[in-house]
Amino acid sequence: MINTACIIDDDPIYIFGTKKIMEATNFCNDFLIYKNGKDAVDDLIPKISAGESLPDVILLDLNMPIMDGWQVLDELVKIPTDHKIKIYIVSSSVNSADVERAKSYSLVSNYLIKPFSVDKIHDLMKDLEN
Amino acid sequence: MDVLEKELKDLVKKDNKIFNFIENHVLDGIWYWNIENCNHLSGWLNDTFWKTLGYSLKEIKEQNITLVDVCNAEDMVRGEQNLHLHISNPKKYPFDENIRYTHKEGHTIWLNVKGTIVYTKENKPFRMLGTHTSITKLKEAKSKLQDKVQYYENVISGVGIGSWEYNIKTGHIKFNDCWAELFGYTPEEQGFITATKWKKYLHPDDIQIINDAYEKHLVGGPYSESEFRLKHKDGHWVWIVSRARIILYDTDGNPEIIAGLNSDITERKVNEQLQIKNSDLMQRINDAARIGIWEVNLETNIIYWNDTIKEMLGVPKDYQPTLDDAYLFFQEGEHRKHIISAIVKGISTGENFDFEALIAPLDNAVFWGRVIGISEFKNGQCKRLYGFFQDINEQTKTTKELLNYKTLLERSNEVAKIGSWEVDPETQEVYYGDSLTTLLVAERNQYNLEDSILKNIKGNDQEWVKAIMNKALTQGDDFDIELQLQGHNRHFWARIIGISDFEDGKCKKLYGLIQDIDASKKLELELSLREEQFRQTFWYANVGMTLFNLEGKITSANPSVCRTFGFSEEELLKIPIAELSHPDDLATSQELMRELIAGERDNFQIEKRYFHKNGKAIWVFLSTSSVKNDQGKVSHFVSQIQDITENKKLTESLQEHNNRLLNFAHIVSHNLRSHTGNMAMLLDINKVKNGNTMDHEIFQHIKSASDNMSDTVNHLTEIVEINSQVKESLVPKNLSNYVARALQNIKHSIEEHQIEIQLDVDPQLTVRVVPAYLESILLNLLTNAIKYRALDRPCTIKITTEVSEKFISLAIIDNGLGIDLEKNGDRLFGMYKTFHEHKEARGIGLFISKNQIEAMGGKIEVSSRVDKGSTFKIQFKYEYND
Repeated sequence: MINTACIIDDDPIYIFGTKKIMEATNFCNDFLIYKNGKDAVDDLIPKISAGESLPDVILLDLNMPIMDGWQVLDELVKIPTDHKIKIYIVSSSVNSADVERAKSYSLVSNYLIKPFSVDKIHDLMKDLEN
Repeated sequence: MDVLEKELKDLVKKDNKIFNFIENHVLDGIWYWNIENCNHLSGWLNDTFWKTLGYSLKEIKEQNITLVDVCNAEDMVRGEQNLHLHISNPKKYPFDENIRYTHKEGHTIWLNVKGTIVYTKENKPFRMLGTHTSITKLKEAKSKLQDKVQYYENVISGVGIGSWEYNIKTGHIKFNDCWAELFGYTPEEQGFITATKWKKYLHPDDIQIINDAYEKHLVGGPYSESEFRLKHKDGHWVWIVSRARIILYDTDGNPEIIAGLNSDITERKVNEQLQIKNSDLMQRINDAARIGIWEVNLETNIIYWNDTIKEMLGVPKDYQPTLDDAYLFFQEGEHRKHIISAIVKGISTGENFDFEALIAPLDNAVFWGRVIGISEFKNGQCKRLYGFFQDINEQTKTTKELLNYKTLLERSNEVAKIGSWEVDPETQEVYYGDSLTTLLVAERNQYNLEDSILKNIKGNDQEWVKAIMNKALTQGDDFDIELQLQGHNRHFWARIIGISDFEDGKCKKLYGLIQDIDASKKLELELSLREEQFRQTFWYANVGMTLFNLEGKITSANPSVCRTFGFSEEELLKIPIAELSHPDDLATSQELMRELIAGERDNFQIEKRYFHKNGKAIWVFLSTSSVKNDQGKVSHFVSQIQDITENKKLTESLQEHNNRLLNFAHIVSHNLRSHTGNMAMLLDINKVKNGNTMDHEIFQHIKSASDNMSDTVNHLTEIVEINSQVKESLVPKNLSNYVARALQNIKHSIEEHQIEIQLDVDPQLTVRVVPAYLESILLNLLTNAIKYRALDRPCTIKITTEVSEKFISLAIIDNGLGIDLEKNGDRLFGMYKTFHEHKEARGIGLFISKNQIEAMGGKIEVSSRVDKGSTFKIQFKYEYND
């Protein structure tokens, strides 16, 4: 089981459901939730820079108000860090252009398509263990 | 008696020498005859006589030649008779005979024989003394004179020369029979004629001519010579030539008698005038039609060219060509060979010719000439060759452009058909030349205007020609018209030239030519028809059309182009095309033009922008082709210009619309997915957390609704994806590998349903695809084949490949349920169509597959029989096939 999972998404239902499934499957101990990209960047960047405790995995949505997933990725790319954070794009977009673009970021581990289900969380857990 | 004479006579008596001298030299012979016992042997003939006949004394003695041997028997008999008559009465019958003797060499010698009787003392005649004098020359001269007189008599009477003598003092005219007959009278009718009376017969215009001629003679001319007209008894004029001389002057030295000869020269005069008329006609016709006339006189070897030919060939007017020179004006090679062989043939066989050849004048440019030659053949020998020569360059040039050589040759083989005609304005009588009679199948004889030319003219033209003829007759207007005539079994186009001889406000004569121009006229008509068709197309085409030259200047623009550009044609002709072109498109079109001019391409089509007169950019579809001349060189260009500004606008707005739709589809699919995803997720959580609630029927339905909605959204997403990926590049993939992978994916299903797979796929084939599509298509078709298998028999799926010219195709052949294509064929690939009552049939698979295949530039076809099976055939693009 991982320690902290960070969810950056503007959809409260998605956050609620994901949290429930993760709790049910004992995915993690703690959650770090941001309602949009800007909140995440504002809070996470100083933390990473300061070397404070960081989430083990970030689940990043693409379509968000104020600052979208791509912009968040662009900010994260800028910060040099030793700490290994797994970043997953989680989007309901099946647009292949999005998929290809996500792959172009070396930071991004995988592109997951919403919604999460118990099975998908199990797969993700296996992926993280590897 | 003279003393000397007496002395000589005495001398003769005394001295033999004197007699001998006389005997030998004075006469052609002396004879002395015994007439007491008179026969041909009873006399003496001296040596001179025999010498005259060519014999020597020796020959006479040896051959015993006597008078009988040399004297003409007839003359001898007559001579003897006359001798006896003379003896009986010497005064009444002098002996003076012309006797023929035969010379030793056989010819006749005429001798005049004279004799005188020598009497005895008793006054009894007993001897004859005579002389021989040669009269052969005299006889000959007389005979010749006789012949000559006879000859002149014959000539004068035969030729009908009238002779006359005019006594100036008395005014009387003496004449022979012929003289009166010259103007139709018998000598009796004329009888006693005076000069005053004669002058009444004289043509008033000719009095001066006679006076002038006489004046000339008076001041020293050898003759008074003149040609004048006399009024014939029948009323017509007779042309007379007269040559006269004063033969007697009175004691004061004034002329008293003039004598002369007259003869009828009417025929010559008429011919002369006809000749003048004809050559004038020819000259005028030639001037009008620019026809050259030439002639080779084979008797004198002189070549005649008229001025027109000389002008055409650029030689001075005094140029005198030889036959060899003339050949040089034909272009070397076939043209020169042609004329030489035509001339040689004309001379040797009398064959006429008519052909067209390239003519190379001295300084001027080469041109096409038509040469017509006519051989005048008399007694199996060519006397002269003559003919016409015409510059037909313009005609031929255009002809050449549109006709191939074959038809031209056919044309040149035709014989020129020109005929002449003449109308007498007073009588309206029409005269046709020989060739015209053949041309119009008419008789040469005289017609009136209505029955002749007009008869051969087609109904509609009759009034027109009549009007033209009338104008020519009444106002002296020449004409040159083309129209259709009725010939033998055919209508033909003819050119009629009419020349009106107009003097003092009156037409003296109307004459001209008719030429058969059927072939060239038809050609011309065809040309003008084509030209007209082109012109019509050009002017009334809805598509813009322009012609422009190598410098890029528009030479012609049709109204449609003018509408497109907003300029008038006049304005367009002044503007270089490049100035109208949108600068961004200029480089492309200029490069294309360069290739066109260089012959690297024959045409091009592009869409480009120009500027309208109002400054706005217009989009046009420009299709330009080069037009080549007969030497294969680009001469100008033809462009079709289609205004596609509206289309472009439409396309652009369509594009915009499409993009908006695509965005909309993306947003819809994304947002819908978020919601359905959430719903599915919540249901999933509920299942985990409160498993028992799932048994509730309502939850069951919510779950089912959510699942269906997810499916729908997924399919929609997939369809949107396909359309948006149309332009994505295709990648080459090995077809066989993908088939293997698809089979691997459904391995479980294949085993479960015991399906036999027959694989016949060429492992080498590479197709250009979107890999994900290829996977999806193969999977879809294979699962379909399994899904709709026939349950009552073992299921077999055959997979084969085939290579055709444009595509690689893959066929998936099953022996399953099949589809009723007649009923469902058109809906087979539609969305949400199912044809089987199968629990998993969703009606979206084939729709997606078809869209994917078509997005990759391929095709899908199906053939099927119900309860026999279906064959789905997919065509893919080749690896290197675009």
